[in-house]
Amino acid sequence: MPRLTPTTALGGTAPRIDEIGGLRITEIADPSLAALAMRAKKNAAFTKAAKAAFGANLPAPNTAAMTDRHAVIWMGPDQYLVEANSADASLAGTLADNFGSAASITDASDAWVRFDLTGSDNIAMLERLSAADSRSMTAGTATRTPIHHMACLILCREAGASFSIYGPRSSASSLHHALITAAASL
Amino acid sequence: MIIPHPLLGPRDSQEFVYLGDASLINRPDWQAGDAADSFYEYQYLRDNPAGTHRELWYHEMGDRSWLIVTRNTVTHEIISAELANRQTAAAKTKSSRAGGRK
Repeated sequence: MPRLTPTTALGGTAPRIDEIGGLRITEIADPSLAALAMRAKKNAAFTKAAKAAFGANLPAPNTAAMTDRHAVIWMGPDQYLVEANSADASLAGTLADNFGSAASITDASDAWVRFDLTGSDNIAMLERLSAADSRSMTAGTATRTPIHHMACLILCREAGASFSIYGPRSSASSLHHALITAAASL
Repeated sequence: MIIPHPLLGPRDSQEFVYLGDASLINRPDWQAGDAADSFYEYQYLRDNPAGTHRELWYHEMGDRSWLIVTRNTVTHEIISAELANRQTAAAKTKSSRAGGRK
């Protein structure tokens, strides 16, 4: 059995951390994610299973439901991205058990790259990257928006102070470059 | 252009991809007896109105939803935007275009 070394989305063995000015951009190496999509004509069962699985109602468009164990992020009509607060390789399997035939669930951990953004200037930086109104975003707001022509997601964890940016993992280096360039230009 | 997304509010048109006439949502039954004729109409025959036009836009850079946008092709004014689903498709069938091969 060959011994393989896991690499992060940017190709390193440890998550990349950049500190530029008052900003800190952290690559999150191991987010546990699952894509959750309602199946046709299963509204009632889907809503009920979600309430049981997350202990919260499903989030409205442009928002995320932040619970003790999960962030459930609205991605599109009847589609959600579930993020486990701590690494959980069994996330998709557990959700599949919870939802049964009411939902289609895919492990999406390797589909996205996540960068966390903290510091004093992050609003100014986000405004250089995207048309999203990051200044008015409050904790638990999430919006899908293009960043450098990549379809990304901005999740606000603390208004004006803490954001997560999700982008396509196959474009991780491009997104990282965009973030670094915007941070350095402030 | 700014497209008023029914769920997400005003969004720049660069987030969207344009597909074409909203009638494309009503794909003919390929097993019907007149499938060849109806696919000919579906594929090739379009009205090209100067004025109000119902058309399909895909929110590719956003929530990946399909919208039916009613746009004035002369002024580029966006009159309305709604989610493309069976209800909006049915509304289109009722006000179906007058043209087509007879």
